[in-house]
Amino acid sequence: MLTRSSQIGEFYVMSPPQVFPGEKSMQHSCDILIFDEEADRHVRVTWAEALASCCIEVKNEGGEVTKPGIEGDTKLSYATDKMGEDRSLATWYKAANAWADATSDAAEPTTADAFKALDKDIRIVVARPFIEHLMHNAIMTVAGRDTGATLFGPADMQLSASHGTTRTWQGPSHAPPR
Amino acid sequence: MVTKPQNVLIMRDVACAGYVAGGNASFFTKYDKTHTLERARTALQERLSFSDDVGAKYGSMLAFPCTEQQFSANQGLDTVMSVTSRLLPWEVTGVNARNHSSFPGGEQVFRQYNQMLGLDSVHYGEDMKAAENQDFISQGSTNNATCFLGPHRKFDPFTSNFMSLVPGQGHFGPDAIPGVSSSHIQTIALFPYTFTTQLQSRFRCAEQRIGLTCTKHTRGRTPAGAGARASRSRPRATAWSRSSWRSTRRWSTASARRAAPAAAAARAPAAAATGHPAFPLSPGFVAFALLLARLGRARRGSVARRLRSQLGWCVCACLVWALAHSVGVRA
Repeated sequence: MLTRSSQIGEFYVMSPPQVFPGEKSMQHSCDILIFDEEADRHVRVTWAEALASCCIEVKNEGGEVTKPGIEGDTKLSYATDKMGEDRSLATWYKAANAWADATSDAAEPTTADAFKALDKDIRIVVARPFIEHLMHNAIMTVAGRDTGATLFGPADMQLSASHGTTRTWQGPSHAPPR
Repeated sequence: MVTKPQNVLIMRDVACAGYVAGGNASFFTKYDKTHTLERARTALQERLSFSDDVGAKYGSMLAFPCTEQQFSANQGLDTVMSVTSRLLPWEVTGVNARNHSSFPGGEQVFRQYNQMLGLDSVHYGEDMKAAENQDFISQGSTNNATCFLGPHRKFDPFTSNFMSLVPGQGHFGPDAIPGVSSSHIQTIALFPYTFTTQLQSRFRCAEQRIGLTCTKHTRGRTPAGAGARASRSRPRATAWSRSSWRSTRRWSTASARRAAPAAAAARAPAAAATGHPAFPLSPGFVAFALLLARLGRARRGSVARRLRSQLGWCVCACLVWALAHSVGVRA
């Protein structure tokens, strides 16, 4: 059977709600549901967990690194409108963390004004790059002798096609039947 | 022996035969409730080399910072990205050649993650000649770098269940149905059923606003990893096909059963109209009345004696009664 192992990749985009869902309806509004093929069920990926998985370094007010990770001075290619000219990852993390605080289980009700202050252009990309399956393959041919032939012969028959124009058959060397 | 190779086509990866790894919802960075880049670097190599058992639990996911502006930019990220140092075709040429613009966050963010996670080492040891020639068989493993937008559900305040599906635009296409276990197919697999189930569950538990119950649904859970593929692929193959579903819809017969007494009541006037009178006017009733009249005029004595004296009349009356009753029932 023509079966081989093949990998594919998928990514999912996590985004905050673009319209105000309500003061008490903010919880889990940034989460996504994806399919877990091993557990055979849908799994909720929370914004807070995805943000933690980005592993961006965190500094305290004194400038000391409290959580190591990707440097906060790293510049994004595209900043949001609210970030302005500041394209640093530290600013992005601050805006993303505000969403984590607003949508967590323990979050206080969010007012409409507080919702407007949040940066709605923040995104987190969750990638699953090595999804591996055993895949079947098939061979499709045009019917007829023009395509080729299936040859049957003794086990020690050799077929030589090494030359472009000359194809030789080296027949079996077994003894003739008695 | 093929004498005309252009008549032969190898159709690659036309059907799934089994799951190996990489499709769970665990982050590479996570270890004991904390997320670190060091852990991710190690877990990546463990997964790609199957350093643990083949059926062991490995990580599958990575997370990267991004902005909406990168999705809307002309040179940014749209429906496909590369997570390693291997560039997309349109990133190789053009004004910003060799710029990894499809990576979430852009070129500088990629350099940082590449340095910390060792993303370029994903392709170490590959058969480059086979990869360049797109050969069917390569010496050694070939790891993927390209990720397409996959199917997922996100918050949507305008739908009844507060979730909407983002269709996948990648390898399995927009019509791929996630969730194919035979025990779950009626509750998870198809979207209308999924939404119905989630909606009911949501009202049962106040904290589960967006179908959280599905994450706790562990009935019929299958073992994870490549070791489970032998036991998993078979039930999936049957449940995946539409032949496992009922071909015609079964309508409820409750309304028909409720209407049956009314139909029987309407049958009596109809029988009268067709020449078969209802019970009070039937020939059997007339015969019974004549029998009672004969008994009344018979000799005095017990009822048994009267019946014996009118035995012939009794038999005739019973025959007429039975005949009339059978005709009436058929009508």
